[in-house]
Amino acid sequence: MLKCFWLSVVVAFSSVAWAVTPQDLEKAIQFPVEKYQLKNGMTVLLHNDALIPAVSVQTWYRVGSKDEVPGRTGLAHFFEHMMFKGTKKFSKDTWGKFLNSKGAEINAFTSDDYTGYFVNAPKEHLELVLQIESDRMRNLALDPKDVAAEREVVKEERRMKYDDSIEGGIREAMANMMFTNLPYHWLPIGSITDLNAASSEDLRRFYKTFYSPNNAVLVVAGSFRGEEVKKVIEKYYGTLPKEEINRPEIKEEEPQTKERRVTIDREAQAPSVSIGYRLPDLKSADNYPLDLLAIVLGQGQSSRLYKQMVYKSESALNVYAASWNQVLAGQFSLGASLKAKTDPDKALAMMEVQVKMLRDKVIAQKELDKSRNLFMKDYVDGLKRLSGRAHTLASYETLFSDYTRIFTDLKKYQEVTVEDLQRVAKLYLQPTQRNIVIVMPKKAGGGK
Amino acid sequence: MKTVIVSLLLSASVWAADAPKTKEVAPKAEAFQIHKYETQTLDNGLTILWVADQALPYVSLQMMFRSGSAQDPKGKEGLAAFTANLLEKGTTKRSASQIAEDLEQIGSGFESGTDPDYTMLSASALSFHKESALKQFAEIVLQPSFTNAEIERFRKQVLGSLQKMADHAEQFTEYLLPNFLYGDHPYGHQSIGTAKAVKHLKRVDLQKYYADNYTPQNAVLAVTGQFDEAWRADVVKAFEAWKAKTGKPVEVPDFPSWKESEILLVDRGDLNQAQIEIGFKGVPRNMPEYLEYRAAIKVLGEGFGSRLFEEIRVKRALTYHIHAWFEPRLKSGPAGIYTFTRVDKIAETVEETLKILKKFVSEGVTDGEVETVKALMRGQFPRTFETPEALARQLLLLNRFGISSDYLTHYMNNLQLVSKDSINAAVKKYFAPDNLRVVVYAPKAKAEAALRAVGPVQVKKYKDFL
Repeated sequence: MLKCFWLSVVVAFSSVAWAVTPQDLEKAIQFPVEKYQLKNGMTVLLHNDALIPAVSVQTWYRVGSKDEVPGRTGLAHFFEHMMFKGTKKFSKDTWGKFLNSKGAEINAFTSDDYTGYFVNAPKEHLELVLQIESDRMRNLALDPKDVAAEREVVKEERRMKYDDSIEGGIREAMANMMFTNLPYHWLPIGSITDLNAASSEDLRRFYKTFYSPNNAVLVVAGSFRGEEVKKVIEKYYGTLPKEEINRPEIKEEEPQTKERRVTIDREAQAPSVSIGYRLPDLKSADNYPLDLLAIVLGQGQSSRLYKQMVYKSESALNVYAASWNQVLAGQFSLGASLKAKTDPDKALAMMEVQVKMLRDKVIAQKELDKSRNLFMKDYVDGLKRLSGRAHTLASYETLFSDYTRIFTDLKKYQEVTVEDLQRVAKLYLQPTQRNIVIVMPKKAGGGK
Repeated sequence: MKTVIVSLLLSASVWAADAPKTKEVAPKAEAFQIHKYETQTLDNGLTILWVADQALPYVSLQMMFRSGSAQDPKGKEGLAAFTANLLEKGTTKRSASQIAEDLEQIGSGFESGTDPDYTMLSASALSFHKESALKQFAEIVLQPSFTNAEIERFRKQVLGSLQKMADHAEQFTEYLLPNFLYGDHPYGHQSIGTAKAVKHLKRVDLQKYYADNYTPQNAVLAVTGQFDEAWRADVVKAFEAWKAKTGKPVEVPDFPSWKESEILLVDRGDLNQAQIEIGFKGVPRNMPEYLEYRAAIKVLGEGFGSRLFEEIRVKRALTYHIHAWFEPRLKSGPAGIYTFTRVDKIAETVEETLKILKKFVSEGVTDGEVETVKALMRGQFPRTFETPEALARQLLLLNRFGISSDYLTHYMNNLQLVSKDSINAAVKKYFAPDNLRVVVYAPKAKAEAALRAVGPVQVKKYKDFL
């Protein structure tokens, strides 16, 4: 039995008027979505699109590394790997040979805030995919032998993405420094010590709590018959029990009043620098101007940091700026991969000059328009593929419990003013709020 | 103006009329329908593909030139990519900064990618900026200025990137493989080139490369998105005055032959993992058994469920990732197996991987694997060509490799004809597991002894390549 409420936006995806303007982009990108909830609390989004004979099934859980505790960091991501190890009904070959034999592709990802699984498959296998996905939501085998083997695989992933990666090392050092209380202090990959300590029992407990239907968002996108798929969803998910979800207690961060800095000495051909500023949580409306501010500062060859550091002074090979919106607190991040002879302190000073200009003076309207155009272009690109639309739906619904923001957020970005950009720069990007990571090439003969 | 417009839907294309056809099989009515597209040839020889897409408000321009890094003259490795990158660094009308500013003002950007056999230039924009996007794209492609100041600036960027590549272990190992595989062959370097050659590239080199290769007969333009007749006419107008010029591409020789496997160990003491690229001779794109070869690579090592993934990752937990790959080219391209592992497991990883490769070649694929891989390829096909931009890119590549577009329209039916015997025949014909070039980027102290058990090893320091 399906629960009673649902929302529907039914605007034909392929009937866009010719002369679209930036102001009516919101309407031009609309696609049909139906939302409802099962009795056990699972949220379902259906996006019907028969352009290709395929479906994308996304199952996202509102759990990530922020739901871990010290001593067990990396558990959410480790567990994600275990989701491919089989249930009583479906052996571990299911997520390899068996789904391949149905023409399907699968994968998953874990972030600080959520964990997502997807299966892209030919439309005729939709019921099978839903049966498999619902089964592993509650009936995972978690064989200790598989746990032991997969632990080594996860450690290899860590060595590749973090231990042997300059950028990964910066990211981890930044998180460690920027957050002292919040669980963003560690990254989803976790530490080797904690990965070694994680037991089958830890994984089982984690599974029971967080992989419950009331903590999940199911998105089915593609070619299907709406009423039929609802019956199938009810058949496989309707009887799954809901769970009480107790998340670890969160201790808020204190305001940062002093710059923090760490230097990593490692074998490297040239230095790198990164600056991180803590941002408000996901609900803050300041995230709209912050997203555009990041573009103004460091996205594209006409961005301020690129022009100054890559083009004019030729002190960097590349630069970036990004605003990461996260559930408990976001991050505004600037970085530069420097040329071998560039002094990192001089590079940091150059970056601060650019940030200071944004604090001190409103930018030209034209520059704001440019950032908005770049933003909108990326936004539309993300919706071109069926799997992209399914992913975006799952992401918005998981984070905001409101997928319609995919469409309405565009208006929010249209409403951002040049004064808003200056206001958020002043509020969040002060020198005392900086967290700085410097990678310095080790001098020859310095040992490991 | 002579304009030929051909409308195509599920029928063999004539825009590559001289191209050999793939196996002739009449497409079935229920076959997945790729997007409608049209072709047009201008008087100057430029071919334009039109793929209309009303789903979202955007336009996209992709221009493919049938020249890439294999056309780099000896001692000028990196020239093709350098030239492509310099296009947006200034035209006769605007500076590099103005171009970046103007393009990004409309949310767009110019991208270039250089492959050994082709160069791809592209720009896309939301449809309300399509006039400006077209004007800017055409100006960048047709009127580059190649100023010395921008050449010097970009040279420093490339040299810096080449130096830093050593800090990105996977990328660096990938960079080293072509030369170890091909040696002094036009495919023997990555398109970015070598530091030694890039240091000496001159403006006149770029101008000559541009004049010889950036010609309308050597190009195909694919246009996708929401456009009307007026804008379509603007596209034609933007490129119709481009002067025709016949070029002579350098002939690429066949794959060099070897007698036995060799291993190159590139020493870097601080790595926690060994990067492993096992390279071997691959295939030319225009081969009759292309689908069989693709299927074989998938069974061997593409994704979850493949032999390598199941044994090396799932069963032995030696790595987070392993895959078999191939790059089909005009002449035999490279193929290989890529993985990485912790430094105390190098011997086991290499030995077991090679064991799987040898068994795969000697015993071939099984009936079950054939059914599975065919289902996978059937399922992937519509998703691969889901967007008109992806279809356009595929059509450009087919054109480059002299393959008729009936490859797409007959794909499903030809896939049905693939059998265990036909795959195994292709495996026997094209795989030589005793004839490998293995690059390992790892600490010598941990790797050398392990690798010597596998074959002859030459050891070099990573700084020797910077």
